Amino acid sequence: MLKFVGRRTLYMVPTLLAISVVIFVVINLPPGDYVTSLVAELRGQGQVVSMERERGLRELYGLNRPLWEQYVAWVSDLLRGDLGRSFDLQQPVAEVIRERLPITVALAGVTLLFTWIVAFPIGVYAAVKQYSIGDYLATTFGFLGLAIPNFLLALLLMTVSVQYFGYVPEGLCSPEYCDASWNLGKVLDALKHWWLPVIVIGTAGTAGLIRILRANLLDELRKPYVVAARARGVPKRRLVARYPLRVAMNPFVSTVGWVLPLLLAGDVIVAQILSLPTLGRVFLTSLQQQDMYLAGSILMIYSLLTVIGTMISDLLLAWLDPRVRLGYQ
Amino acid sequence: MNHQRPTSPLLSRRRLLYGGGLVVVSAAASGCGFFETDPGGEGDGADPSVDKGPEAPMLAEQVDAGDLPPVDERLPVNPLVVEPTERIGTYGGTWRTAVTGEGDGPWMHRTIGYESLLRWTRDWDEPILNVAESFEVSDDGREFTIRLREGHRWSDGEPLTTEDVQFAFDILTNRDINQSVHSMLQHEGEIAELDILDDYTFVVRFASPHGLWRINNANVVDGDRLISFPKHYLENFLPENNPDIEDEAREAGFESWQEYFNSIGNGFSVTWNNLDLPTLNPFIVVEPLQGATDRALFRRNPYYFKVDPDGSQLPYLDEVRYDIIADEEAMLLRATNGEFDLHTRHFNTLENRPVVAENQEDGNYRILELDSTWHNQMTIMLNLHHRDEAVRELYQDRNFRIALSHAIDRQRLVDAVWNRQGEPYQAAPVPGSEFYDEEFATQYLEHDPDLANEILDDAGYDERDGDGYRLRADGGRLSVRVSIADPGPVDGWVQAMELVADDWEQIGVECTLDPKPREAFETEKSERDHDATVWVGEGGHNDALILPRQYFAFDFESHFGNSWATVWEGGEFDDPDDVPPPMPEPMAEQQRLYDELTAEPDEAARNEIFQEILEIAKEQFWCIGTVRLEGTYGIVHDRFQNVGGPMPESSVLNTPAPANAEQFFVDEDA
Repeated sequence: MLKFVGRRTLYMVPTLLAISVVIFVVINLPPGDYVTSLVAELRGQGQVVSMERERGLRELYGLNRPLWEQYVAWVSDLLRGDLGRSFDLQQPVAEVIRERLPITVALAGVTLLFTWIVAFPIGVYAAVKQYSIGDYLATTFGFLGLAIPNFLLALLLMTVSVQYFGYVPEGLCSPEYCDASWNLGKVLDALKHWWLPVIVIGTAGTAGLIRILRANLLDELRKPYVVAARARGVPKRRLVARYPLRVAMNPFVSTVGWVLPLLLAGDVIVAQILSLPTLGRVFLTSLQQQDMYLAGSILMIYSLLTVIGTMISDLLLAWLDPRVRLGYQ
Repeated sequence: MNHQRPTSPLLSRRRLLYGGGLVVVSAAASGCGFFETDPGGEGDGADPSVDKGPEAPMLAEQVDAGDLPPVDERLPVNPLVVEPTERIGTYGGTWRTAVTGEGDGPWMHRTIGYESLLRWTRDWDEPILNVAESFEVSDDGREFTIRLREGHRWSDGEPLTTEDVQFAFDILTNRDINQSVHSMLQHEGEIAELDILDDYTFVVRFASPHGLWRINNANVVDGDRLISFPKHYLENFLPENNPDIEDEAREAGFESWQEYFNSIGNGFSVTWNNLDLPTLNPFIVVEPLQGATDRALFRRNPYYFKVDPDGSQLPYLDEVRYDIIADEEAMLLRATNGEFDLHTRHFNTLENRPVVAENQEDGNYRILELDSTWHNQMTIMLNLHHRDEAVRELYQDRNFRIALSHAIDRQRLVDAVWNRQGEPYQAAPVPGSEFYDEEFATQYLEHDPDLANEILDDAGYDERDGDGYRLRADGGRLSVRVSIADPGPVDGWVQAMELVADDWEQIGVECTLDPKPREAFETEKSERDHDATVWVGEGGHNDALILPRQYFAFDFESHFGNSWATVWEGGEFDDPDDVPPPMPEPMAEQQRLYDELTAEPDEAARNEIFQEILEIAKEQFWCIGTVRLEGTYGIVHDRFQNVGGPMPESSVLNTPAPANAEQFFVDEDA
């Protein structure tokens, strides 16, 4: 097992290096750089920006160096744990991330819990009671959840909220409560704001999970060992929970590692629409403005978490399923 | 002295709650049990029947507690008296508005960031005194003698003196920090001189007469440059006063002390981001915009230098709150739900107008009409300095441009794209501007494809290829690829240009559209690789003289000849391939005239010269106008007072800042 982990860790190094090259190249692919967008913004405000100043700014930010030199500087900083700084926010990237991390992780965590709590029972129910009314309902909502784009759902629910509840549930707290100390009012206020992003971000995941669980479980339920166990009088509920469900968990566990990067970046578009103070929005802006160290470093962390997450998934899978575990030995 | 970087919002909130400086909040918080649902804090607005006194109650409390000097020690000897727009107000209340995020600095400037030496009147008639107590121009137009207000103080209580002006001057002319000398202190290639006469009086002298310097001092950012650098605070971030600054900069995460300095006190957004930076603005930052999660918050400046006619210190409002709403649809929802007191940005598009108007009653707000200072929603500019000589020759042919103009069915644009609002208009000054010229505004507007065909035939483009497109003398097609910034500053360009392209195809001119992101658009423009662009027609009103971008090659935003503007500004090209072709003689004449204009101290004479420049623009027809809108709009909540009626909308005027935010107030009963 240790050998396995070691080997996987070793593989991560070239993978991440390759990713870093791709990230850097892709970010620099569009014409122009951060200074272009900065200067355009200043000129748009009626400021006079001379060519001398534009050149000076490029020099200041080191954007006049050849691309490979910029890349080497970036990567060697990364290796030393320095994520660089954001041109636009005039802050170290690490600080930008740190400021937004708690709320980002909290929101993603709550959403994830919501997804699991809703999806598991429904998925199992839909499989066990196949073709019942409940199954049809779950299927219909499942497909709707998968098919409706998140941003549309967000806008729809916001409009509904304004129409019927008289408030716009964007952001994560109301202005008068944001700074208030915690009391019942603030808790209620938080509930007023959190339900929307949790539902919007969670819906697609919930729907997907329901479908996967249902399909896997259905496959298992038809297997002879289930029939045999039932014939020998094992109670249905205990049987399903102990054997087919365990096997049906495999695909779920193998994707659980992807949750890790999701925790960090969340849903970029929804964050934009709902004005959520998460990392996702900063990420989007940084890409638009070619704030390359910010965008690059966020992407790098994202990739790192994906790679680590995949490994965790594999380990979990091995732990859960002896067949996988034995296959390695 | 505090050397810390602007703290994170989390920290600042903690500071806000536990710092003890904010008596009201902490007092309210201490009385809060968990099972109460009240957020704490005060209700909005004060009782108008009570005499409001010389200062805000929240400041009077601090004076009583000994935390603040009395109000007459905080005001200048000669404070600026502001006439309220409608009536004298009362203290208290919060101005609720919104920004899209860190990039929305312009709205901060337009709301609470306009304290220049001079300032524009609300209707944009003339510059009036502001921070400057007096502002005199010498007869030869070279010397400007400015007096600050004795006893005027920064928001931390330190006096504002000519020492700060000298410090600002040194910063602005320091190439190590600013890469180039600030445009306010440069004229015709010469750097201005600064003479300090006494603690409050200084002279700025130019080598040659500078006709526009007084006006520039009323503009946002330019006009406050000399009074935006509090020496007592910022000098500690310069290497000559602080040998450890390089280390401190690196510790704070910057590569050099220059970058550190710029993030602390030299930039367009430091005022909203640095909690420690003293300012002259009516409101000072409590929760910064940078790194803000859901809002930025500003509170009254206890040392603000303006009073109302009763002698009560302004501002009336306690706070200004900017909720951060990244999405325009979400902003529209909040607007129609009556959650903004005054807002004129982002959500106020043409297509949203019916929705905003419909909800006035329910949302308890009214629409504030803003007169457009743009002469065009979409000016089409052919690239007159094109890299390809044959194409350049075609585009420089005035007849070609006239034919294209006649080919456009502008009424169709009005109907299909601009919701049947607006009128066909050329790139010319608007009615209401002192430079309005009906002929200029309406020439070549009729939709007349036959005439367009005739002009092209007569101009020698009568040969056609197999596809029916007209040919140039050298055999190339008459073709235009229109680059469109997407998203641009207004919606609908791609849709509108599709109609225009259709019109042009009818007269045998090939037209393709090339929408692209703003950065790509800007890069292409600076490389002169575009055929044509579309942009908004800035400089239609009294800003015509300041931003004549579409009347000749004035600056980088003169898309038809931006490289000529670069040469004119004294820019140099590293690569000989980038050196632009010779400029058409009439345009060179316009630049010469403008040089003359900037050297002319007399306003009437300046306007006369500008008329001449406009005559040439009319004659040469450098770019093609399409549709002009009467105006845009904002919303004002019913409880929000003293905003007033319609005013011009312009980035130069910094709308709605000249409406004087310091005298807005909240009246819940209104």
